[in-house]
Amino acid sequence: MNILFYLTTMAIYTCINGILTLGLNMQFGLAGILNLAFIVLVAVGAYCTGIAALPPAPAAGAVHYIGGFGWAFPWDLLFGMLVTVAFGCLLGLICFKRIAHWYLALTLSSIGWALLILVSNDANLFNGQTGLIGIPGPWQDQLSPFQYQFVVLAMCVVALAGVFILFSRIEHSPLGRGFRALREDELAAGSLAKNPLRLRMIAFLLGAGAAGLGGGLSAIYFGGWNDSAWQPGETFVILAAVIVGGRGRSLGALLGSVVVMDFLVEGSRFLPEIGGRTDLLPAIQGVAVSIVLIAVLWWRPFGMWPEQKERFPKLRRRPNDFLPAAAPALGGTE
Amino acid sequence: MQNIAQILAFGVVDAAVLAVAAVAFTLQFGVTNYFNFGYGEWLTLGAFVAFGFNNAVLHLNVWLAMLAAGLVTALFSVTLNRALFAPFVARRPDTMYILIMTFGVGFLMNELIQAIWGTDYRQLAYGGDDLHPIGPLQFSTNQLAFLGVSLACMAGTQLILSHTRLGRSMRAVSDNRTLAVICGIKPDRVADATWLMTGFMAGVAGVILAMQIHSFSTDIGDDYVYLIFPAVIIGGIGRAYGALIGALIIGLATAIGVLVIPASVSPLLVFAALVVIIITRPQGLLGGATGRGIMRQAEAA
Amino acid sequence: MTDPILRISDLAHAFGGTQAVAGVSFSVPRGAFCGLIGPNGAGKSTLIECVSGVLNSYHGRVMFDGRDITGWPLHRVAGLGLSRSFQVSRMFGRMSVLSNLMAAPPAQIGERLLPSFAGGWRDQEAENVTGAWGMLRRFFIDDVAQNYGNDLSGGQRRLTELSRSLMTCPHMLLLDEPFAGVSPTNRARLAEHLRALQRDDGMTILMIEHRLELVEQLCDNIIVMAEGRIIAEGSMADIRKDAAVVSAYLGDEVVARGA
Repeated sequence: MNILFYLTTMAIYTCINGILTLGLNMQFGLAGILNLAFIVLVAVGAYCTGIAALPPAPAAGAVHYIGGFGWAFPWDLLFGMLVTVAFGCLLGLICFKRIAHWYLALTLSSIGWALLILVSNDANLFNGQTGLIGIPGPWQDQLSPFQYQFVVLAMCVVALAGVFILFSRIEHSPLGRGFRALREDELAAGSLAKNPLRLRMIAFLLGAGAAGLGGGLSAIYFGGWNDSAWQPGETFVILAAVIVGGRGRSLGALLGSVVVMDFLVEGSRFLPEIGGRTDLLPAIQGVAVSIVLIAVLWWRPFGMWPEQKERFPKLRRRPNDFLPAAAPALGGTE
Repeated sequence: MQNIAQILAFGVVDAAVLAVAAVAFTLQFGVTNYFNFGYGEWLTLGAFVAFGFNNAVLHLNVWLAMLAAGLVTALFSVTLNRALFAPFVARRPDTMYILIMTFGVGFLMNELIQAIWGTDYRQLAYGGDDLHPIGPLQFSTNQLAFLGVSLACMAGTQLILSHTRLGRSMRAVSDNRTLAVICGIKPDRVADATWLMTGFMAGVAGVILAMQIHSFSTDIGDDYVYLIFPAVIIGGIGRAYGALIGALIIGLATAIGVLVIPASVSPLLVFAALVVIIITRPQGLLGGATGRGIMRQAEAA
Repeated sequence: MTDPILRISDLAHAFGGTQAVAGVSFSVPRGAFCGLIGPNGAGKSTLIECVSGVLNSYHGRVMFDGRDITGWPLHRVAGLGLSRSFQVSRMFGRMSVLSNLMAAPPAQIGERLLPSFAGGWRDQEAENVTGAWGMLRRFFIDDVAQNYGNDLSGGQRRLTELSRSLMTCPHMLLLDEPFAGVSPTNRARLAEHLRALQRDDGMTILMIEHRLELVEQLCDNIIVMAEGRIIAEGSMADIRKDAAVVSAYLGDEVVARGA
């Protein structure tokens, strides 16, 4: 019974992490936006789902938060996603200018982190450090905890499948190609009449949507929101997953998230204790992930399952060419 | 009236502490052409190394511990550059990768510091809370010391930059790397020396920060970064004076802001200042027209 | 000149203290092959950056194909049919040559968000692929079609960039030193390609080049710039005789040829 609970919990984590990794992969892997404040988007999604789901805050007392609509699933989740995308839009409008991509990384992160600190410091609007508790999930009060696990798992699997299919299709479409062109050389892309701001914004908002979805699902599953869970360093693990897996490739990102989050992070739980220090575990997890990331950056910066060259449809007719007719006919593409 | 002056004075002290961190950050960027996204951990390292000297083993006076921490951080920085950053940049010149690498190294450092010292809150042992009236204002000995340390760092930096060969080389590499190489300057050595110098300052900054907030944990650097980056952005990336001005603006703004809005919302001021600068003048106040290549122009062949 | 495709009026741009371009005016007739020459630092590249929209903060006016494109950003200018190459060819490095070309065609249905996941773009994509292969074969780079952009020789990069630009169906090409880095054997081929573009496709071309023999060979009309201004305009024969040009630029070369 216990092992099944553990496994379903792991599966839920995996799905949520997969969604987040796909989101950052869309922003960074595909479009080249180094968003080190990605976790802020996830936090916004989680928070807004929470305040949508919770009943209104009691007028008196120590708990304050805005919102409190008491909506049921899926409306709370959709609200969270919507606000996250709107927030991403705001960030993009502020930061996306004709500046170098590495400076964009600095400005984007600075604004994101400043906002996170702002929210976690403020007790009045956002219930500051205490966070939110008691976020209700779908049918939670009618089911046993065990049955509830499966409901949440089903939700997460469906969500992950949806995001994966959507992002995969985009990745292999001309729009995805546009993202990659933007990533490779923004100036050259501009010279081909691609609007860099539009492409960047679309990729960013798609990633923000995924972040909001992942955040919202965590809020529902954990039933709470606390700023300590949304530290800037959290982006690191997601970034590691994108890079280790294979930046730009949805499948790679997904595999990366399994490798980094499931094996490295969870797996180190099973390592023997060192010197009897129980608080060493998070540090060991962190060290493991950092070392793997540094190694991958050094030897295989494109990841374990790198982006492949595009496959093109078979030619249906011979191209107009200037070679004599004796030239061999062109068949497939690889 | 006196109240406002006092608050401004405290703002100046805050700005002084911030300036040390910000100037070091921006100088290192200027010479190496990439940011250290794990910079917060350099401050954390300084704070905890000082703690190690100050409390646990040696019971060293806090100011000596600060110097020791600065030296340790300096040596650590230059070693890290030689062992990892410089070879990595040679191998993968694309800026994105080194940014991620510094982010990763910072994360690693944080975890190691946590592993060694744990996650409890620590305090450095020092006195100096007695007040000294200076004109209409009152400063504690420590605050005066912070100002002193900051001024010493600023003066030292200015001296090095303008009066030593190293400083001239740093400025040359910062302005135009190719030209500097042609003039016989070795950018790798300059980078090493820069890491040494900025590492020292970062360590010192971490210690005086730890003293300023009294009680600190392994988050100290990470939390402070959200002030350092805006200071550097507002002032103008890559320019030491820019960092100084940015630090002053942030320090004074947050100090004055307390008069108007509750202290917990003072991050809003930083956020607002950041947004304004990024929208109107992304290269910062002292960034030139192109802000060291930040603004997209046609790149030279 | 009746209806020039490109008309530049009083263009001026300064970098910090330096006036890179100081009041330049000229027109390029449709279907012409114009050469832009001048010593280094004359402002030729800056002029191209302004006209193509990479630099926005210039004075003066630029009219293209009857539209006022002053101050337009790069992608809008390109969208109107004014395509440019770069002094150092810019490749999409981690994409194949074929992908490089396929990024270029205008109005791709699959670049819009909804069709990108809902579908409906595959037919157009197939058409574009056919066109891309045709373009690759035309410039004899079909054998490197699956090479990464990073793994090409200098000459291959030039040709890839050129064919990529042509995939956008431009009306005019701005070429910034297209022969730089091209081996002597390939120069003749590239020159022939460019001439064919003008002759067979009616393409208008404005080319910055330093190799005067190529300029003489290909260009109908030559503009000479020095220190941010135009100092002469005309055919190669006219320019050779122009004293200002001789003193500013051609110098010994011309004397040696006995102009």
